[in-house]
Amino acid sequence: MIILKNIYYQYDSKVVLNDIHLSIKQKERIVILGINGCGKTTLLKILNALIFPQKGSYTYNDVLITEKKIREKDFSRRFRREVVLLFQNPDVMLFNPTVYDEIAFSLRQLQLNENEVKDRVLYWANLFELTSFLDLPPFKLSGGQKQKLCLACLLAIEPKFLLLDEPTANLDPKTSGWLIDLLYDLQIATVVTTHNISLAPELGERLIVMGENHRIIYDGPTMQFLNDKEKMLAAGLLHKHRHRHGNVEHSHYHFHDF
Amino acid sequence: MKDKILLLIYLILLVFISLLRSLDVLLISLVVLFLVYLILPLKINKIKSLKKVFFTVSLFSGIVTLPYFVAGFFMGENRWYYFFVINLRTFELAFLTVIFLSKINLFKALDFSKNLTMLLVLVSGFVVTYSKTLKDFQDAFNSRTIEKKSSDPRIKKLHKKGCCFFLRKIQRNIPRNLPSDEVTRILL
Repeated sequence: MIILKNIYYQYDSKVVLNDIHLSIKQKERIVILGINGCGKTTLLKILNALIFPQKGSYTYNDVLITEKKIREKDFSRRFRREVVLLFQNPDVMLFNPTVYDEIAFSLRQLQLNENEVKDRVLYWANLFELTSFLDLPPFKLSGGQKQKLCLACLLAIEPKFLLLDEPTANLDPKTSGWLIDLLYDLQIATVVTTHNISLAPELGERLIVMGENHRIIYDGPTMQFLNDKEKMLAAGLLHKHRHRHGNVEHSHYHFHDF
Repeated sequence: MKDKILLLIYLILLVFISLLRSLDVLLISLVVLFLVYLILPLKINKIKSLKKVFFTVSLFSGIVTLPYFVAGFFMGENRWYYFFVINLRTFELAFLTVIFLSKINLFKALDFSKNLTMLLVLVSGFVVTYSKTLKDFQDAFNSRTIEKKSSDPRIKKLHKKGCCFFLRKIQRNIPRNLPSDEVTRILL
């Protein structure tokens, strides 16, 4: 179980996260909504122990996560295997010469023998429709295929917490649908950040909304928030501007998906 | 206009310091620069910037001045003076650049030329983008690294072979008449 208490983080002099309290249970499906720059990505990086809170505490299965703790080989090995992060830009996650090596990268670190590695790579490549690209360098894949490859790499090591930073941002509607189905079937905890309000109910039953003040302004059932116009307005997720319906020009509150 | 004047002063000082040959004058100018650095309100982390300056000068010294000084030592020439003057001058130039870069808005200072400004915007845009990508790449690599030390069987095999090769070389070079405890000491 993940528990964040009173988390505070700032870059230079800009506060990015303030007074964040959050707990994530095993197999929970959480979606994080918020406007640009509210701290969603920073929160995911803290959860993945890539950066560490300047105030407050982060505990993972009752172990306090600190820079020193994550340097401990045994703990780091367990943590990095159980908590994984899908970056928004898949290109930064791909650094191996072929798609096969990319999926095998983490598996080889688990000290599996090469036959076992091969079996697992073929299984995940088949599941993600990447079998025909196994000998290709990852940079030759399309955006959607790269995203699939990154997910295959992460899921191949069977994590317990999957953190996804705007996974649908670079995907076409068909691939987005495929991803939603995949995440729904996974029996692990998922934390997804997104701008896509209409996809939020599909991505998680529990919604966390980050406000412009870099605090959590809502933590509860997804549909309850999406049906509350006042809360959506306060979060900056709903807005009003003039637009046309046929020949009629008028304005009303609505949201856009990106 | 302020930025243009500051840039001009910076360039003049750059030429001036580059021409200094006296150790005394260099030391005095260093003290003046340091005082300016301490007094001036700069928008940078002063300790961090000072560390960067030290690192830059150490790198330069390690590659250029130190080897030249050491070479002189073996050739029987005394190059102390050269060593101090060049390193002090480099330190001051780096220091000056840090101070002025934090005070000058380069975009404003170079806006007399449209092409130059566009080039600067283009270059700084690329620098920012690439540095962000590099940071993300490092984060992604750390995030995906389960074992801190690579346990790739091929690397392990290579490591074992390397160790075996060096051990054998050492064993072959141990004089045969040495007592066994001395042999163990050498091997360990």
